[in-house]
Amino acid sequence: MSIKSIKKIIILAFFLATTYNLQPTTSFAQSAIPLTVGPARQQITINPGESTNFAIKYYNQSEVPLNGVVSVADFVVDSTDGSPRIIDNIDQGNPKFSASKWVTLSIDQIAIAPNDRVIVSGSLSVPQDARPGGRYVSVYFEPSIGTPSVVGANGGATGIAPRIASLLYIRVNGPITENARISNMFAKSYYEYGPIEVTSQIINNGDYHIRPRGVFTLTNPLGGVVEQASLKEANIFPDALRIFTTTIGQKWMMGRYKITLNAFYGEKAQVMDQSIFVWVFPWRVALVVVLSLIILGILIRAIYKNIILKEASLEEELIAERKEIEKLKKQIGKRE
Amino acid sequence: MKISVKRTISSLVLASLLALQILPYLPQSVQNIPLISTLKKASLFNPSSVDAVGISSMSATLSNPRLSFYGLVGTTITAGDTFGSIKATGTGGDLDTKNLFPGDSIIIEGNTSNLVASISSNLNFTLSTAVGVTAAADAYMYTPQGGTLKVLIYTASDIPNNGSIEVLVPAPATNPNDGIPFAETLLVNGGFDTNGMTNANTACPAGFVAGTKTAGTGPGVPHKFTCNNTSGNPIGLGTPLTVTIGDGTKPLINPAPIQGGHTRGIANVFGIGMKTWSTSNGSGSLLSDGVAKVAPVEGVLVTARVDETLSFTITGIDSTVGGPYCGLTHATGITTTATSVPWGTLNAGYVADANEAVQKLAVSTNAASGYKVYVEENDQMGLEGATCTGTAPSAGQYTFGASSCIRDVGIGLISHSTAVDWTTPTSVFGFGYATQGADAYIAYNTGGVYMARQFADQQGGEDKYATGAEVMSNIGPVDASEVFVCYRISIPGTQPAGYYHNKLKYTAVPKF
Repeated sequence: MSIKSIKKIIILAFFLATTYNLQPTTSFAQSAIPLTVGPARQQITINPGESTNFAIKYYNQSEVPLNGVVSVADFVVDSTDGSPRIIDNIDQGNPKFSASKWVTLSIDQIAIAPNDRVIVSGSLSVPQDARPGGRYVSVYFEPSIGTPSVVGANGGATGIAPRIASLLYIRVNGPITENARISNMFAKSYYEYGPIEVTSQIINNGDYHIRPRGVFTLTNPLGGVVEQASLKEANIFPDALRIFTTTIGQKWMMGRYKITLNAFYGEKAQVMDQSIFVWVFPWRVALVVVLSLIILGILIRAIYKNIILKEASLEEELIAERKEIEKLKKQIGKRE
Repeated sequence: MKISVKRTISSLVLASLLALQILPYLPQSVQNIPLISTLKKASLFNPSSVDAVGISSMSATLSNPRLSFYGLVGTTITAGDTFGSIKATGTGGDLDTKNLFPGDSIIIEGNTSNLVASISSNLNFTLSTAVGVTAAADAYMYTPQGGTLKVLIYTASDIPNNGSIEVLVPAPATNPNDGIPFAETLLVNGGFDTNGMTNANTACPAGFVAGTKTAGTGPGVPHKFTCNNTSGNPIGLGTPLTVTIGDGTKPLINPAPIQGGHTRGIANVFGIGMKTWSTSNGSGSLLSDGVAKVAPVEGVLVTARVDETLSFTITGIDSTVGGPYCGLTHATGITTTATSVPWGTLNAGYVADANEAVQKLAVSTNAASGYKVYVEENDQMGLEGATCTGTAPSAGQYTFGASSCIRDVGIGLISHSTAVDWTTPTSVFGFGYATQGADAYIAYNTGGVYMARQFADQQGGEDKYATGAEVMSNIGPVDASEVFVCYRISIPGTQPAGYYHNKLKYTAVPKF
């Protein structure tokens, strides 16, 4: 084999190898984006004029890197089930509870390697004249998802982007008003059968969120405690109302029952309570019982009348007949 | 003269020796006279038992070697409080919370037993239930730690019938039998509290029954527990014998750390004495004895902090695999990715395989409050990304002012927060979604066949937080709770040609 031939073979091999490497490879769109944030909720207590730091971890559990933004936004809770409303527009935050302007993140763009995490640290600087009470912010991560690519001349596509948020509760120390009450407590006034579903509304008029603890007590018409059920522990945002629903009692109940909610809240363990009355009467069962008793009475009466009385009457008749026969026998005897 | 003196002395010595020989045969009351008891050991006929060289082997084991907690209240714990603090100075044996653990049963002066819920700091702790009676500063509080003390010996000499075993347990100087592990000033004054035990709380080896139990009174006067051999036979040397002191009803209470002089992690060592005697209840002649050591020390709290986390996953779905999704099965269909729903080329006329797509949302959280997932769209699907002003077409099915868009589905009262049954996608056009899963706000088949909603249109100012606009939620912790989001799109035959797109954003957030 000549040197020229060897050169040709090498060049051909190089060409083929290069061509092979330049073949477009199949790329797979990301099939899943698993994100985790921790802690999901955290609380910071701080004095006016002081600063502190906090950290939030974002995990990328996918096999591809994720780039995105980390941002701070105020949030409030204006629903009755504790769902936070993130105020994306910083200027629309409720100044009473806003703290997003006090928070500075160490970084606002992050890249999380596959199966890795990034710790985002933040600093919180509370102004000296800050009003004591609760301030609430969320820190969220939003991966950058581009506009969906064109797949045809006439068609459509929808891009999907996740966002995952962590909540930060800030307590600015100082004279904080604690004021809450049971604004309403209700249940249907009448139940045919237990148990009774009771709904109570607790409104927090204080400056900081509360987490009431308490029990519902069911008392029977004689004053005896039938059952107690705990109030589900849940945070109530300041200036917000939260609804608690519980079920108490057994199926078989009868009479006018009293349901009392005794709860306490806040650092001073302030007490709140309210009661309602509910009638429980299984009228259909009662009707069936009464009707059954009536029918039973009628049956007994009929049996008494038709059998016992009749039998007595027949016995009397029989006795009379016997007497008659005896009388006739005597008369016949006299004739003979 | 000299000879007679010598004889006299010899006779006296001989008489004395002879007299010594009969001492063991004198009445017991005479033998108990200390001088007689000592002299009779010289008898050659019936030598008394002599002290053994020691028990051949001995061990003492505490079932719970943790030191008791004894501290003083730092700041007054008011009735109704669940928060307690420990005084960092003074006469408490524990001046911090390092010997107090969650789940400990703590007794605060004037109150009944309570449970420690958590340790808040070096000096503070929380209780599982509120205290019933106010405990002023300097009131005592303690968590008795104790259990059984098991003493095992291998005797070096026989224990005769009616002989006995005696166990000696150090008694503290202060109230050694009241169940409260008081903190002594010196280690030598420390000991175990017998907690009102009787001999019934002593378990003896086979062949023995519990004898007298005598409470100690402090240093040098230990608690005495005895077991008497009632087997009718002597117990041979080398026999393993186990005496267990304390039981489930009356545990032996371990000492608390001494006042201000205890180093955390360093055990306090106490000697447990064991003797065997020739007669019952630890009397008669000492046959053997020995001392074993026990060393109570603070427990070690093993802790691990678990962050409260929220995990949210969007997964693309091949609609031909699995299912049915929202009541529909697909022979051919659209495969979504985590970041896109590629409708491809859309034609007029609804066909499930071309106009339906599915994604899966999954949430895990250990947050006790639960979670919620919201969804929003930046705008309705505009031709080449054009703005679709408003929430509904200004004319017809796709005209939004100067723009052409694929509208959000319009049927009845449907909105981003109100679901309506979308049963006729061939004639009702637009883009919408239904959901399937336990945590879905409304399942596709609740109240209809395909209960659809619009996405909250941010361009149109729709509130994604409105009641009914959520995608999925739960009021407690969940593990990989899944909801399938079924996207549906349908366009009229007159829909202008071109590429329509918009963007959805899912926000996962813990509940407050």
